[in-house]
Amino acid sequence: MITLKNLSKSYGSFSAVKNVSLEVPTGGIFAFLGVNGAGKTTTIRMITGILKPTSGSIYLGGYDLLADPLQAKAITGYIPDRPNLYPKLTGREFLNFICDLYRVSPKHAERRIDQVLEEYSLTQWQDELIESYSHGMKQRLATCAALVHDPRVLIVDEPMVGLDPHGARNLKEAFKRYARSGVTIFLSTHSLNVAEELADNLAIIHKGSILTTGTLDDIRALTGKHDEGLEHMFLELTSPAVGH
Amino acid sequence: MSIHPVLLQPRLLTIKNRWVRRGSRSMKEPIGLILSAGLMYAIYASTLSTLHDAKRLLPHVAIDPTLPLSVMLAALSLMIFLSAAVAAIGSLFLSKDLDLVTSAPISPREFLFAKTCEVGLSVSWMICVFGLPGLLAFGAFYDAGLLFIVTAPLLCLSFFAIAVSLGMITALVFASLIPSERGQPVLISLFLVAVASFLAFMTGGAWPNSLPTENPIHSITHLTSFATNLWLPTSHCAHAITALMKGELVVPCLAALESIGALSILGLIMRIAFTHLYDRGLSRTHQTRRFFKIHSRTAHKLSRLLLPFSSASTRAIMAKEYKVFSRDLTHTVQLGLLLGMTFLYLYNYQVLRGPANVSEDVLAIWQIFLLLSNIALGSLVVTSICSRFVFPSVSLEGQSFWLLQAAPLSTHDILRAKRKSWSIPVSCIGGVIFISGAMALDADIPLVLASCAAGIIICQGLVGLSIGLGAFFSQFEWEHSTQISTSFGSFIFMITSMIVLSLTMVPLGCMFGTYLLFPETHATPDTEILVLGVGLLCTYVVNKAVSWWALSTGAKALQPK
Repeated sequence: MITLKNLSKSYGSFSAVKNVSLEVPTGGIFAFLGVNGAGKTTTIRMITGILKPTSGSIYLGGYDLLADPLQAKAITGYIPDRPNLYPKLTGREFLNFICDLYRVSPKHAERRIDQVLEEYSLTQWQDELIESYSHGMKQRLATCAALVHDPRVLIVDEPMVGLDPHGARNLKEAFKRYARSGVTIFLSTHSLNVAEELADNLAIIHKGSILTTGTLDDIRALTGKHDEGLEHMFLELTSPAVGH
Repeated sequence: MSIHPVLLQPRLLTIKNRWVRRGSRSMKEPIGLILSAGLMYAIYASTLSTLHDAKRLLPHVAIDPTLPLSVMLAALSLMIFLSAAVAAIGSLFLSKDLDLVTSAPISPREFLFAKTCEVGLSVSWMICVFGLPGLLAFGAFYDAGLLFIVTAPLLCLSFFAIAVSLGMITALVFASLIPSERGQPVLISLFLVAVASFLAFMTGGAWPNSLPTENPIHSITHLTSFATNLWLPTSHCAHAITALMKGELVVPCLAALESIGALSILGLIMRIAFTHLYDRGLSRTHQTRRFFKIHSRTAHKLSRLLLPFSSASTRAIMAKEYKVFSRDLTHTVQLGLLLGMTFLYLYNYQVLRGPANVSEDVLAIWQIFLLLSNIALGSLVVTSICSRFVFPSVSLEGQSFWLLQAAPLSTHDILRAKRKSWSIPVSCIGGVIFISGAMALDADIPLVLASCAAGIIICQGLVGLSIGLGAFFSQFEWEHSTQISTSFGSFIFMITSMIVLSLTMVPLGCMFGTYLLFPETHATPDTEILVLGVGLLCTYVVNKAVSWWALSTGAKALQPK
């Protein structure tokens, strides 16, 4: 469902992402792990079409993002790490705006908006301006916006930031549910317990390059730590010695 | 009193970093600098040449520089006051650094002084670009020495600080009186006042015509003489500069003392206003309770009804623009001030209608001049509206711009939707200004209609230009939204729009000239339509080309990098 081929991004002489190639299968959750500054957000911003790669190609649901960006973006939902939304719109107005941008039919949009607002406990806040929402509510509304047009691909960047334990638990359950229904979730995080709990497959990026990719068992086999958790393997793989 | 370095340092470092670490925007600053240097030279050269022409035409009349200097200073201080008031609302109440600054151990006095300096700095380019060259041209014409070059700008600086202080006081009072949730009712009230004033203007009931109209020169002199009123600081400053040109020192010293005195009094008033009104204004600005309850479902259905011929995505962007605009208090302030200026302009404009007891030819030339200047001045008003509201619209997406970038829309689609959003209101405002101006001049009905059509075409061009350049000079990481309208990009937009307006005046001048100087050209309806049609078509081509170029440039600049 998501294919990255030799993806690179440079800013002058600095290479933020170097020759990243990944294959994410349809359905399921793919965790994209890395330390701060490893290149996770840059990769995600390229997959969502916000940044243009220096070289390489990106395919979403079979559409080439560079050659056919509108088709590729139409099947994608994106939850950023910081929920910067329009503060002067109400929650419902914002979701209507997103539905119109993604050309959801008006009848379906109304029904779907009601559904997602209910699901993320925002119904009673739907007519309030977003500027009056708490950080967690904004994060939940951003999630609603990413899901309201029923995307086939969901790109998520640090989803648990700002959520209370209830919100975090609900979101994790929701991700599992979407994955079971066939949505492909590309989840970037440095919360290793979240990745361990949710991910079917994962990749670790370090200093712009992919260190390893596969299932948790594949990585265990690679590191030879058959009884260790993800945190231990991650720290070993991304330690300064490996980086050098 | 010292400027607290912590408060002003980020601003100064931002300016420095823009030059030192230019990166992908490497050419924008140098191009802007070259354009502004060109404009400064043009203002200097044209002022000097006008003064030399006047001397050649009237060799036995000593030209007193006080009147033109007063008018120049008055216009500039009005611009500075308006910009400072808007920038002050942003800087004092909406800036993103407020949490950091107010929680830091900084005294209210230091905070106020630093914010005043910040506002002053943000409007200082107007003084440098528009004021300084004019002043130096006067100095060169009257052979004023080095003393003038050094002291006149300093004198003006204290004078313009008065406008900045007034802007700060206005912002403090306004924010404490009108809470942010009242923005929409205030906007509706402003709209109703504008409609009522327009109706009164059209019926002529509320617009006494007691000013002289026999001689156009008298009319212009009468109109501009307000700036020389003795009670105005403009007049004092102009007299002082005139005295400096002659090498006198007493009058300038007295004027400088007066300015400093006025500034001290205003500083005291500002301090008192800050002490008593700031906290109240800050809490009111950040109040999120709404005066009117928002019914999101109804609003969405209404937008579908009101914008039926647009695609869903265009309609979404248009509806979003209108909602965000009507809920932003800073926009309401700016709109109120601009509407006030527009009516002042329309009220004064009617004194210039056709002079009595002159030959047909002279009357025709005077009418051509008036019709063209109506369009030119009306376009300048529209340019101000565009630079305040339309130019910032791309940058105002701010950190929410990712939503549009990630959506299935091209950058062209985004800009086209934005242009469409603003074309309608700006054309309505422009149409009213142009038609009212032409009617105030007692022009023939075909000319009134042609003026209105030309005005609407110009509005379309200016909206396209401002959206395109707004995208080209977009800055999504602003401290407060009012920074964008006083930014360097906005200034470049104003210069470019002046150039476009000059180009547009050529076909319009030919059209009005042919119509009024050669009556046989509109002897039959066919020839009348031909003359006006060709003129309007050429105007349309110029504006369409400008709009297309600007939107393409802007879309290119916004593409993912």
